Amino acid sequence: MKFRILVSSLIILLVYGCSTTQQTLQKALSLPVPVDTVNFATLEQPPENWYRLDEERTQFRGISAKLAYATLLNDQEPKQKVIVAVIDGGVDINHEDLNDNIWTNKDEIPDNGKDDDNNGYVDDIHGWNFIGGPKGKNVGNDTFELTRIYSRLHDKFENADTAAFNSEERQGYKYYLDIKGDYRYQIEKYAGLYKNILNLERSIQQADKVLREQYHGDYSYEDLKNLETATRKLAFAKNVMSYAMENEIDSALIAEQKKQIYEFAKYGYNPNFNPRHIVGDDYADKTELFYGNNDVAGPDPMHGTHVAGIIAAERNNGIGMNGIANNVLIMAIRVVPNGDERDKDVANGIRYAVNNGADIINMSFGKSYSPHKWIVDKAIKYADEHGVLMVHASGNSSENIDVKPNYPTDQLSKAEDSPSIDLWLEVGATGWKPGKGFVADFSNYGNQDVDVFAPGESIYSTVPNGEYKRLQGTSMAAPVVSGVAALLMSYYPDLSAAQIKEIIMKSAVEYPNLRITVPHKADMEATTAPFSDLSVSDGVVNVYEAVKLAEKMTK
Amino acid sequence: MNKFRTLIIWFAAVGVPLTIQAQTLTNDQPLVGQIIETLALSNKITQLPANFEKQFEQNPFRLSEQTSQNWLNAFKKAYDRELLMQDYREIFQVKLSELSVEELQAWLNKPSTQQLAEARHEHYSLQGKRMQIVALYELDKDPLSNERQQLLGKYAEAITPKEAVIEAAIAVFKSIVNSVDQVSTKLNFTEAQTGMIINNFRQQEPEHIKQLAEKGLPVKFYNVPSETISQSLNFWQSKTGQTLAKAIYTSLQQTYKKAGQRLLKAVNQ
Repeated sequence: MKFRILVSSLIILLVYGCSTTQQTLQKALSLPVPVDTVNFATLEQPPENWYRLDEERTQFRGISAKLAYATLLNDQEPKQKVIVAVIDGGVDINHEDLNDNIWTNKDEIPDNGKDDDNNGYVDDIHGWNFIGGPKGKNVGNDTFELTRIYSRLHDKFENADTAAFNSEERQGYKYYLDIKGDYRYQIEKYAGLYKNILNLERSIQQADKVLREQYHGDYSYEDLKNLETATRKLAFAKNVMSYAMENEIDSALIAEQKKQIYEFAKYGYNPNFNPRHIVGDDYADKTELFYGNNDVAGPDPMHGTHVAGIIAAERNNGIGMNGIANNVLIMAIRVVPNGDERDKDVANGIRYAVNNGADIINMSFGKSYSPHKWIVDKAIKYADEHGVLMVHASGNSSENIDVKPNYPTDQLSKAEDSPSIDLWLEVGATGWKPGKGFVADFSNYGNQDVDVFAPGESIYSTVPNGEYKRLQGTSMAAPVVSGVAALLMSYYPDLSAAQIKEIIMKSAVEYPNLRITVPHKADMEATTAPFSDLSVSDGVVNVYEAVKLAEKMTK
Repeated sequence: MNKFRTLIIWFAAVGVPLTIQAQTLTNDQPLVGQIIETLALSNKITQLPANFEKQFEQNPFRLSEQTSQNWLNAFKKAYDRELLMQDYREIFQVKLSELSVEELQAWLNKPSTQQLAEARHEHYSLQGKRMQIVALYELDKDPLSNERQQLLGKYAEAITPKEAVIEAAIAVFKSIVNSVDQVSTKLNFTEAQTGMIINNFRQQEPEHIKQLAEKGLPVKFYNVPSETISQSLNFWQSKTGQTLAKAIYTSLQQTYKKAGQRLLKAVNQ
């Protein structure tokens, strides 16, 4: 499943001010004017480019990409094009701010219906779609892995005579009961959640009606704060609407949440739903490589387009925004439906990326179960052996992935001494506000299994049809790291992928005195911990520091 | 008085179960068992006390912790599922004996009865909970036609004899008021006060039939064709159907009264 939490777009202006001399210097360096104080308590939203800014100069804890380009990289040219495979739900490769940075398979003649380069894929001009079928059909919605496992085991065990089981069958049956419990938990959770949303929607509608009568029309949050509530009806309306406004809950958000839960119920958790026939592959054969179609956008390329833009949106072209890397091509590989990706497709997506020249693979997706992990592990090993750096989002469940893995992982087995993959970076998400809330409250973390953090809140990037939007999630944090890796590779082509990883880890900016609220589920008590406890590198990726270290390592 | 208001507001939050559940029909069982399974009455019988029990766990009467726990244990024992089912069968069996066995059996054997029984069974299953989300969303986007709405309205009216439904809920409520009064050192209701509380509760009860028609049945019977519901409606609107509906709820009321007596006896020990 893709890691994205939707937020609505808002407009914000940030005003800088300082002396004339400073202003002249800053303009020359194309740097923002240093700010004495940013009031994070009252600021509703950060600047669109906050995550590329430098903290010392702007107070925003970005990755200092803008500073690096303006200073260290100012008189340098990138030396090689870097290819980043975005394995995701699809990319709008015609987006105005991406279309010049899309990888093209030069060995393939477009649309001639032939596999000109004999790589096994016909007309794979800009990548491949492993969840598409003949005649351009596509899988849109799919089930969650939990549902697939539950469905398979339910058929086998639900009415079985457990008394006759041998020891292996008893183990299988125990696993089925665990899965059934997990599945039941999810259904009951979403059933309860949906009803709560309906109640909230009704309450907001009632409250709005009461307040419109009170104010004879529109009203503001300030109006509510000052409202004297002479009746219980008015007190109810004030409480409900204040809550809605403080949490930015409007009818659009409610509609979106209802739709998401509906799709979970209708497709994701529906054991009778199976769209795999659309692909037309022999699904049982997990080693099968050649299937799919060349529609790399698919029916909903929102998520993948946003990820691609963070990495590679065309820089300084006067439109949109700037990607982090400036000599990069995006290879679009579609494996993620609206539901959980399948291990076979993930494995083939990784192999395709490696075999067609990707230097980096960004994977902003994950799931809690991986029944065919072995095939994904084979592909990951293949990528590792071929020197391809893999960057994976850690997930948005506010969980410790040292305890509860989020697949795919770089661990090849569950054993404590399991071999792991070297060329792998697991990424958690930080926010734009300093202090206890610095780590995004949705972000997964792990002292052993999350390598580095990167900005993942309020990330402005490309979305389909020439638009731009702020989204949040570790899905956004991972491509920040992919973008940094791509930048380093393009300016320092002599560095290996392993060295690039080392640089990113060692140059991460630490906050040794910072205690943060550890991400947690809503029904759990909040705890704090040193920020350094949440990842291996103890820090946040930083382009400026990474470039400095890269310079050192190449001398 | 404040304590009465608190009780009424609190109890108004606990609704009357609006739905009935069905399980697989087997012709080997006696008639009473077949009807209980077809209409999944076991779910209905236990649902209301379970709703109250959930509220009591929050100790709304502000009894001492020990008193509250003791009272809750007594309530659980008095309204134990097995005891309720046993009492209900006995009481319902007697009321059924006033009806024509042939007519009831003919109704049980109808395909429409079977289809609705399956829908009820599905509704309370795990997949049914999932499907409720789907139905609620799709109904919101594509509301029922007027014809369907009217049909479900008539169906709700036919299967839910209003007074009997309210009296069943009041039977539980009354047992709660009386037993809490016994254990609490702060509440000491007179008979007149108890009567007033109960009357207030009766007036504040939600419109069950309207809720059933507008919210409950559209979701439960989402995938059931109108023709099937219409055929079933014919039975429920008949004299036998009306008598059966009344028998279901008056049996429920009497079952709860027996449970209430057990509760009162337990708290007085």
